[in-house]
Amino acid sequence: MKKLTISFLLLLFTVISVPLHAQPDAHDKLKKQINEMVENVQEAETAIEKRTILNHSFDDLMTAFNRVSAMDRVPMSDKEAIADFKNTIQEKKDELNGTNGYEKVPDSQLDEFADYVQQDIEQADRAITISLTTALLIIIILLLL
Amino acid sequence: MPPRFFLWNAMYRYFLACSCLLVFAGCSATQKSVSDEQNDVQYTLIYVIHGDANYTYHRDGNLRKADLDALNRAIKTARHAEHGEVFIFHQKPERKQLFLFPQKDRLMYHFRNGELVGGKSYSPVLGGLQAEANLYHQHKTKTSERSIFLYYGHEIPSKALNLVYHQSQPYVRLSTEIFVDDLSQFENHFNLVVLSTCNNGNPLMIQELSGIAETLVASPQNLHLSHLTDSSLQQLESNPEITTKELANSLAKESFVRLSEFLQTMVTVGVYDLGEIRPQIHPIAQTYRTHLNTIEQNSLFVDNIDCQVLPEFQSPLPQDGVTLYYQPPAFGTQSVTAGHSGWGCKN
Repeated sequence: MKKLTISFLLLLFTVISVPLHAQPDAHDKLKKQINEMVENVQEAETAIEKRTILNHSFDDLMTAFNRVSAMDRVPMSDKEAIADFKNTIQEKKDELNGTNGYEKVPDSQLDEFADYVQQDIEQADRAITISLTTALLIIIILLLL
Repeated sequence: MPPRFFLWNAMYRYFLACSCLLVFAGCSATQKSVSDEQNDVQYTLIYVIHGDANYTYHRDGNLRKADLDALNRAIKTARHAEHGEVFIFHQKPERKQLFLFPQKDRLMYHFRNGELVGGKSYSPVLGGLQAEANLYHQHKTKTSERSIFLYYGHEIPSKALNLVYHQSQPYVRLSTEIFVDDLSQFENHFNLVVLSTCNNGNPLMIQELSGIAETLVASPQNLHLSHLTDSSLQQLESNPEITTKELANSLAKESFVRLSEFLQTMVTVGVYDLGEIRPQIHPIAQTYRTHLNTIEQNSLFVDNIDCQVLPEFQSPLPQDGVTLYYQPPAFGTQSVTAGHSGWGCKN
């Protein structure tokens, strides 16, 4: 019994001593998802495939954002950050398809457009304005779609 | 898991701690041996690299950590600084043992005449740069002829918003006012301040810095996480006569060329001659302050727009003293925008 108690205490000590940055970062995972989209676009052989991958990825992101935003426990600041993120993705989708006043992205520039989407999201730090917990929820939903 | 594992783990940690102490003791010994060279310090570089948030980005499909890349580049510059004293502060996430005891995770690297002469782990004091300023005063040799401060991080908010800036200290705030107040604790005058952040080429930051700095390099819009390039600072060795303005222009231009080579997004790198701007900045900053009070900024890191577009700034914003390196984005509504005033504002 004594051995068990000591082991338990040591285990507890170790667990709460785990460095913060050793925990998996949901923001990294979100950025990784977007990077996979870019790689898939660049590996696709035809413009139709590239456009389909981009549209599909945008739709998945929008679905995940909508579902997470609808959750009661998600804080208001996260909902506002998600709304901002959603607007950005919608604008990208409009430009990709030439809707809502945008000029359609030419077939020859789809690889560069995928880079643009990624750079815009990463450099604008949009992912990190969402809390870790909410970002993790988005990732889980994206994986389930 | 057997208790013996924990025993070995504890012994390993103890051994590691002792090794670190020995390394820093060795550094202190080196510090004394180079005291004769202290008079050869002609310039001081102070780097603060924020790493207490997510700084991951991708380049050509490869994952990069912006703060670690900036740290490596700063160390490279420090090793070339044969006539300089260089302080590098890496603001890593602050961990706590048992949720109580700070682990002093932040790191200071101190170089003099191209040699690493000291290092220290430390804990932050509030959300600004107070801990770093204290360490700087404890270790600096003297106030040199030229002082340059470089900050690498996310956008420094204009106001102390109720939002997280330091991931490991979510309740500690940072704002332009806190940042500049703490900056003045290092020195009361800087020849050059470089802000490798998004959106800090704005009227408030320019006004606050105009009291303590001669020249500012900053971006009025978003800046890619691969950051500004600092290799131009090696000209302090190859061409010691270079003026601060020439140095600032060189740093900005070099950064712009590198960023615009691979970015599809907008690239803006501004050089602000604060001496020239100072007589005109007060009404501009005051107008912007009033504007900020009328808008509700609920999330951090919303990209700026060109201040000139705001109805509050009907007359042209001053261009004397502002040099902007600008490339419009390849896509999006702003891809057809021909230019930018160099003044960034929230909307």
